[in-house]
Amino acid sequence: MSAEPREQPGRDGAAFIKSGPEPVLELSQDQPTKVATRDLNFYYGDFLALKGINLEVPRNRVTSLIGPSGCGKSTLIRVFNRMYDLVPGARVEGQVLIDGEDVTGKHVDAVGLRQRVGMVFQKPNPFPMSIYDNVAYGPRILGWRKNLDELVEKSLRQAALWDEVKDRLHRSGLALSGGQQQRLVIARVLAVEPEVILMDEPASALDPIATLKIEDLTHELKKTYTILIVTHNMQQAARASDYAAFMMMSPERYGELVEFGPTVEIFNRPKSKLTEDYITGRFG
Amino acid sequence: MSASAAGERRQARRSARIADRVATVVIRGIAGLLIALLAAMVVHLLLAGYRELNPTFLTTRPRTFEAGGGVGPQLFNSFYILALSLVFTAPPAVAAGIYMAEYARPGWILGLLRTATETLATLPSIVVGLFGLLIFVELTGWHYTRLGGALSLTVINLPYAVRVTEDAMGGIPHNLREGSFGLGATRWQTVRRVLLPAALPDLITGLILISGRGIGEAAALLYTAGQDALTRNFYSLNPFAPGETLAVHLFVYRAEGNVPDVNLISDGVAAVLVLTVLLFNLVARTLGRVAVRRIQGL
Amino acid sequence: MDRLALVLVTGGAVFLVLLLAAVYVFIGSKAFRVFRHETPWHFLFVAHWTPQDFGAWGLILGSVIVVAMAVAIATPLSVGAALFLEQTDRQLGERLLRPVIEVFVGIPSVVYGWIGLTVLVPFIRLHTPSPTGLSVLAAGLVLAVMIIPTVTSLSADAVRRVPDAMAEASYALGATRWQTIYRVVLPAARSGITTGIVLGMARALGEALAVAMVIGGVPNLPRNLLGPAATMTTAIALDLATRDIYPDLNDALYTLALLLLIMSLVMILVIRRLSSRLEVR
Repeated sequence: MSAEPREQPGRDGAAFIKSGPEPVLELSQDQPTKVATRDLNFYYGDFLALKGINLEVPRNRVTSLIGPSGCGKSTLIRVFNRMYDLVPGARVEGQVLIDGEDVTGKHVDAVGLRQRVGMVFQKPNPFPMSIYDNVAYGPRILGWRKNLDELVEKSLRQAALWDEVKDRLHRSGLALSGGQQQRLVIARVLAVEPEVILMDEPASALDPIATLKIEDLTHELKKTYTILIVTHNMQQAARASDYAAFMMMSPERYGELVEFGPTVEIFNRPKSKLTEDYITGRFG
Repeated sequence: MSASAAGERRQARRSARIADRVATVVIRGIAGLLIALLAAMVVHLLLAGYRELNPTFLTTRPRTFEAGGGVGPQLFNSFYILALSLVFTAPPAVAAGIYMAEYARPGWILGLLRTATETLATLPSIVVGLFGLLIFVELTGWHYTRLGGALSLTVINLPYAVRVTEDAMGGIPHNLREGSFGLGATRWQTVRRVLLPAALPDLITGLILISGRGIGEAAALLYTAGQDALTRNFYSLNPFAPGETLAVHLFVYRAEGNVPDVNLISDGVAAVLVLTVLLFNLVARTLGRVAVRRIQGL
Repeated sequence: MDRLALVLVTGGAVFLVLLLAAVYVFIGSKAFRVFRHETPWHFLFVAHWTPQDFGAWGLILGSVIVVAMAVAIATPLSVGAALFLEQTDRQLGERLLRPVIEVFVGIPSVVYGWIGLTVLVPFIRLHTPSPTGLSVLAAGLVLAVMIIPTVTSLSADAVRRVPDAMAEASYALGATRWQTIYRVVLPAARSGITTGIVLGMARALGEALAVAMVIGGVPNLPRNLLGPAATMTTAIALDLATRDIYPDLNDALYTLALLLLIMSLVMILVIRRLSSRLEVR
C-alpha cells in the first residue's frame, strides 16, 4: 500500500459527505449482524457507566463510535472483548451477542473470546521484543506452532507493513515509527485470526499520513473482518466508516447511545438534534 | 483447518488454562506461606517470652548464677544510644538530603552522592562495627562506651536518613517551590519556610522507622558500646559508660550467660525487641497520618 | 543567611562522602598488614584459619554458599510474593501481605538468629543426620527469610513499573494471566528484579550475627550443608573477642572486612549499571 495523498472530503461546511474516488458504499441492508448488545448496562462498582445500549454491528463493515470524551465509547468496546474483567468491581447487565451467542456470562471463556475479538489500543503498544516475536506472540500463546513464519509474513502483509520491515524482522519493535508500531500492533492482532477487530482511537497518537494509512488499512481489512473503531475525529469517522454510532453522556452522567445508522445518514440527515449539534461542532 | 490441527489448538488452550490455574495457586500459596511464617514467628516469640514481659524484668539488673534477673540496664542503653545517635544523625543527614534534593543539579555530583549513600547503606554492619572499634574505641582511647556505640550507629543510620530526607523533599509538589520563588523568596527561605514544614511529616515518619531498625542493631555495637552494662545506677546519663544493648545482650547472653534461666531471659529479650519494633512501626504510621492531616489543614 | 545555609547543606553532603571514604581508608589501612607474613594466595585460596595461620578460603566459600542458598530460596518466593502484590491479588496484597513484608524488614537480625537457634536448629538436629543442627543449611534458611522483604519490595516495584498497556495488549490477544506474566511482565521487569536480588545478596553477605548464631562457627572448608561452617562476617564477629591476645589475627580480620567492602562495592556498581539501563529504556 502506498501513501499517496487522498482527496480529503468534507473540509468545509457542516456536512461531512463521503466523496472522492471511492464510490459511496452500497449499504446492503442484508448484512447480517456480527456483534449486538441488548439493553446493556455497565457498572464500575456502584457507578453506572453505560445504560440501555442497544446496538447491531454489521459483519464485514467498519462501524465507528463517535461522541464527546467521557461518553463511554472506550468502555463500550471493552465490553465486547471483556477487557473489563481485569477491572475489579466492573460488571455488566444485559447481553452482548457475538454471532447470536451471549458472551457476558461467567461460564464464557473470556480468554478464548479475546482471540476472536482482537483489540488495537490508542497508543501503539508493541512488546519490547523483535518485530517477529511481536507478531508471533499471539500464535505462540495459543499453541499454534506450525508455519509460524508464514503466518507472521501473512499478517505483516495484511497490515501493510511487510515491505517496510521484511529485512529487519529481528530488530526491536520499539525501534519503528509510531505509525509503523500501530500497524505492527494490527499485524499482531491479525496473527491470531480474529473475527472482530476493536480499535480504540487507533490514530490519535499518529501524524496525518500515518493516520491515512491506518484508515486505508481498515478499508482493506473489512473484507475479512468486522471492525469497530472509536474516534474523536469526525472526518475520520466520515472517511473510514460505513456505519456510525453516536454516544453521549446523559445528564445523570452515564453513557448512552443516541443514534445509530449508516455513516452517510448520520452525517447528512441526523435524526437527533444532539447528533446534529455534535457533528456540526456546536459542542464536544 | 484440519481436524487434527483444531484438536491441537484445543489441547493448547486447555494446557494454558491449567498452567494459569496452577500458577495462581502457587502465587497465592507463596503469599499464604509468608503471612503464616510471620504470624508463627510473632506468636512463637510472644508465647515464649510473655512471662518476662513484666515491669520487674524490664527494670531490674541481670543476676549472675541465679535465676530471676532482668534487663533494665540493657533496655535503657538501647534507648539511650539510639537517642544519642539520632542527635548525631539528623543534622548532617537532613543537610545532605536537602543538598541533594534542592541544591545539587543533576550531574556527576548528584550521581556520586547517590552512589555514596547506597554504598553506605550496604556496608556490612559488622564492618561498621570494626570501623567504630578502630576509631571510637582504640584511636580515641575511650574503650567501650555508649558514645562510641551511638557514633557507630550513626554510620549505619546516616544513609537511610539522607534517603528519607531526599525523598520527603522530592515528594513536595513543584508549584509550592514556584509559588515561593515567585514571591521573591531566596532558596534558603523557600527551604526553611515552605519545604521543610511540608516535608516534616514524612521526615519524622522516616526517622521513627529508622529508629526501629536502630533498636535491633547489634553487630555495629558489639565491639563499640561493648558487652557490659552498668549494673548499679544504670540510669546514669554518662556517655562514657559501657553500654550493652538489648540486641547485643540477646547475641552474647546465650554464649556467656551463666544463669539457669538463660533461655527464658533470651526469649523475653527477643519478645521485647520485636514488640518495640512493632510499636515503632505503629507509631510512625499513626503519627505520619496525623501529621499529614495537620499539614493539609484537615 | 543564604550563603551560610549553602555552606551547611554542602557540608552535609561532603560529610557523607568523607565518611564513606574514611571507612575505606581506615579499614584499608590495616587490611594489608597480614601480608607481611602471609601471601595473598595463601590468604585467599587456602582453607586454614587459626589464630596464627590465615587461610580464609573456607570462610570465603562459606559466605558464598550461604548467600547462594539464601538467594536461591528467597528469589522464587519473593517474585511470587511480588506477583501476588501487583498482579493476582492487589487489594488483598495491600491489606495483608504488604504490612507483613514491612514487619519482616523491621525484625532485628539477632531475633532471626534467636528463632533460628531455638526453632530451626533443633528441628534440623532431630530430622537430619546433622549432629548439632548448627549448619550451613540453617544459616541459608535464616538468611533467606531475612532477605525476602528486600527482594520482594524491589521486585514488586519493578512489576508495578511495567506499563499496563503491555499487559493489556497481551490479554487482548487471548493470553491467560500466567502467559501474560511469564512472557511480558517478568521479562519487562527483569532488570528491576535483578536489582532486588543483588541487593538481597549484599544484605545476606553482610549479615553477621544471625548467621553466627546458627552456623556453628567452625572455620573449615564447608563439606556439606548439614555440617557447621563459618563465613567472613562470622569470623570477624567471633574472633574480634580475642584480638588482644592475637594481634595478627586482628589484622587478618581487617583484611576480611576489606574483602567484604570490595564485594559489596561491586554489587552496588552492578545495581547502578542495571538502573541506568532501566532509565535508558
